[in-house]
This record gives sequence, C-alpha cells and structure tokens, in this order.
Amino acid sequence: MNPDAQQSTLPRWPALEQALDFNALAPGVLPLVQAIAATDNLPERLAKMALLMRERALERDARLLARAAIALAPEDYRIRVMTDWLVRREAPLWHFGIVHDNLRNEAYARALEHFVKPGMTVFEIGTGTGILAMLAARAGARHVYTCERRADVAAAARAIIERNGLADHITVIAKDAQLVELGRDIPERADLFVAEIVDDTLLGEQVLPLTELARARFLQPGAILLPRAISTIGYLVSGRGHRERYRMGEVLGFDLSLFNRFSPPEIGLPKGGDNVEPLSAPMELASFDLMQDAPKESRRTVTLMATQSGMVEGVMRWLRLDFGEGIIFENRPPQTSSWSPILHVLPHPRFVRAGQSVSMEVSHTRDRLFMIPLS
Amino acid sequence: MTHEKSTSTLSLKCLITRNADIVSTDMNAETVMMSIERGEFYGVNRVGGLTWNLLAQPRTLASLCEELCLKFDVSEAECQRAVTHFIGELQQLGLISITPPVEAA
Repeated sequence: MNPDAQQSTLPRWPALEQALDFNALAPGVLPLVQAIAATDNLPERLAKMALLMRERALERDARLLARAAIALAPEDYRIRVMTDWLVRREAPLWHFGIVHDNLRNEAYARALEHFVKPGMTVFEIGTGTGILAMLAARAGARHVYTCERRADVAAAARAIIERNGLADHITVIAKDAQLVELGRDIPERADLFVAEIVDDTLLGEQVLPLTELARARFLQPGAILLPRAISTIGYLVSGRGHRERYRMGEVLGFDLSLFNRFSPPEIGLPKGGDNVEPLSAPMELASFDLMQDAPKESRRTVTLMATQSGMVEGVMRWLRLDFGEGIIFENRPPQTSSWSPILHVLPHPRFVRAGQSVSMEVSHTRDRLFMIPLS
Repeated sequence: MTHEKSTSTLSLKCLITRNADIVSTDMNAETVMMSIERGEFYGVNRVGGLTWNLLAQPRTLASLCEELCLKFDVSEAECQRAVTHFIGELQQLGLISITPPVEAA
C-alpha cells in the first residue's frame, strides 16, 4: 500500500457507510475505495471497481462494491446496467418465465384453493416472487412461512407481500432451507407444504432432498404436500434435426466431426416440443411419491413400443406434477409452459416399424435422472 | 490532462515523480493503480509493482536503475533499457511526471 492511499479522506457520501461494510473489503481494495469516497460520481466508480475486482477473481469484493453502487443510486440506469451481472446472479431470469406460465400458476392456485383450510399453517421452500405464499394466504392459511436463500429476492418478496396487504399473514425467511430452525424461524410444524422446486429435468432443483427435509423438520405428520407426487412421462420421437443441431460434420470444406465428442446425450427442446412427431404412446418413465423418502438411487428398464413406423431420434419427456384430488400439471407437448421438454438422444437414429420396441435404462440419483438406450 | 508523449529525451538524470491523483495498492500478484481524477485502473506485475513502489519518493532514472540492479540479476544496460521503456509507458498513461535535469550554467 502506498502512502497516498493511507492519506485518503473519509467518505463524504453519508449513505456510503451504510451501503458498504469497509471492514469486509480485502486490504488491497480498501485504499482504492477510500480514495474515491469523496468523488461526485461515486456510484459509477464503485460499479466500475466491482468489474475490476471480478476480473481479478475477487468475487466477494466485487459483490460488496456493486451492492454499494446500487444502494447509492438505485434509480440510475447506468449503474443498473453496469451491475446487471450481480442482479442476474441474485434473481435469475427464469423468475420472469415462471410467473407468466399460466398453466403452472393455475394448477398451484387450484391446489392451494382446494387444500388450504382456514387456520392451517403453510411452509414453503423457494419464495421467489412470493406468488405461491400469497395464493396460500388468499386461500385462508392462518400463516405462511416461506424461505428464500437469495437475500435480495427475499427482500423483494417481502416488499411485494407488503404491497399486496398480506404482510401479517406471511413470514419470509431469508435463509437456505437447510438453515431454517423450527422454534426460531417457524414457531410450529406446518400443516401443508407447497414448493415449486422442479426443473426441466425433474430432479435438478433438489426436490427430493428438500421435500424430505421439510417433512422431517418442519411439517406435521401426514401434512399435505403440494405437489404430492412428481413424474416424468415420455415417448419415442422421430428425427426433426434436433440431434443434428448438436453435431458437426463438414463446414466450409473442413471436417469438424471430431468435435462430436462433446455432443450432449440430452437436449432441452424449445418449449412446446417444437412439433416433434411421436412414434409411441406416452409412458411414465420415472415417478416419485413425495410422501415417502425416495431411494438414493434406482434403476429400471422401460420399453417403449412404436405405434407407427419412423426414424427414432430419441425419447422426449416432460413433467407431471400431481397435487391430488385430480389436480394435475402436465406440460405434454405441444402444451407450452415455462418448463422445456427434454430429448434423450439415441447415439444413432434408428428406424423402427410399428410394433417394434426401444428399451431404455432409467436411473436416478438424488438430483439427476439418466436414460440410456439398451437395445 | 495532457500527457507528455515523447520519451526519446529521457535521460538518466531525469527526475521521476508519481502523479498526485494516482492511488496504488497491492492486489494478489499485481499492483493496481487508479487515477482518482479519470477513474481509470491500471495493473502491473510484480516487477512493475516493485518499480512503482520504488517511486514512492521522486527519484532519478539512474537511481531507480541502480536500485533495481541490486535486486535483480540483470546488466546495467539491460536494466536501463527495460526501465526506460516502462517509465515511458507510465508517463504516457499519465501515472508519472518526468522533470528534465537542470542544465549547468
């Protein structure tokens, strides 16, 4: 550190000391901040310095500086653009996608209307915008406890809930579910659990371990789960070039096919399935009763029989959430939703005649589902 | 700010002074310099950082090279060539000022 930095002035911006924890900065970063603390365009300088720290893998300092820039100039669009990397990390874009998914929203709204009874307490993992917690409160819940691990998202949800007049009925706990404490964050075990923690692949958002965590720590015995079961359903599909989009051959006279060692065995398809042609009847490929602890791993063989002849490109599958009492969400193509179907590609497209079968091994871990062609 | 572009007249007797609006700090394996006035950042490696730190007090190019020759296994000529080039870059970036030697009457 050079002597000039040590002689820097103290912050002139009164809000800076609230916006930035100086003690949390790395020793090498502190003199730079102190040197600019009295400058007129401090928020922009902090945002720029945050980018510099990111380039140098000083992630913690980058986050602190970017947060301070936003706090000092919340309405400044230049700062908003320069700190978007931080905002995106805190609030991924899929938040916007799921609230526009009417099929999803309506399924959860119907389920909550049906199962929430006056006086019930509700527990949720993954507050997001607070939409499900507010639906539960509107349905008559005495109180909803909802946890959100991203602090910025939790703060936004609190503001949304307050704006919608439900602050007395909903408590947003800004914690990872693993850190929520019964008797401290939640006064008692809840009567109903609601969560939307499935991804396109079904298990990628930890729905199995998190639901088990909720049942073990935060729910009454026999509490209602929404959804109560999840599954993935699929069928054989014909080739429409999906596989080829992720493979290479000759391009401009050069053979690039050796790059195919990186071709993915499963592909996220455009929402709605992009007009794939089914070659078999839909079949349940994997299912999980969330009322029970799921096995850590499992493996089974499913056989899909072609109902019409064609070139099989792979197995396309989608999601099914069962809330009970006939309330079901399913994004079976061509139905669009915020979740995309998944195509498990065969290593080589295969022509099948009607009546012939393709067998797949379906296995899973706690957060992954695998499909491997057997024949 | 206008920066002196030419370094061709840099002599060993020139006095090199860090500009007042430059703050520097050590960060991981580099030294980062920041212009308070312009809001620009510059980074130099370990050797550059050591050279910068030797300029905490104004000193002549000859004194700077002499100090660096003691610290590194390098010939005087090679050291002068490299340091002259580096000082020229710092000058062009507006991080330092160079005062020519006072001519004897």
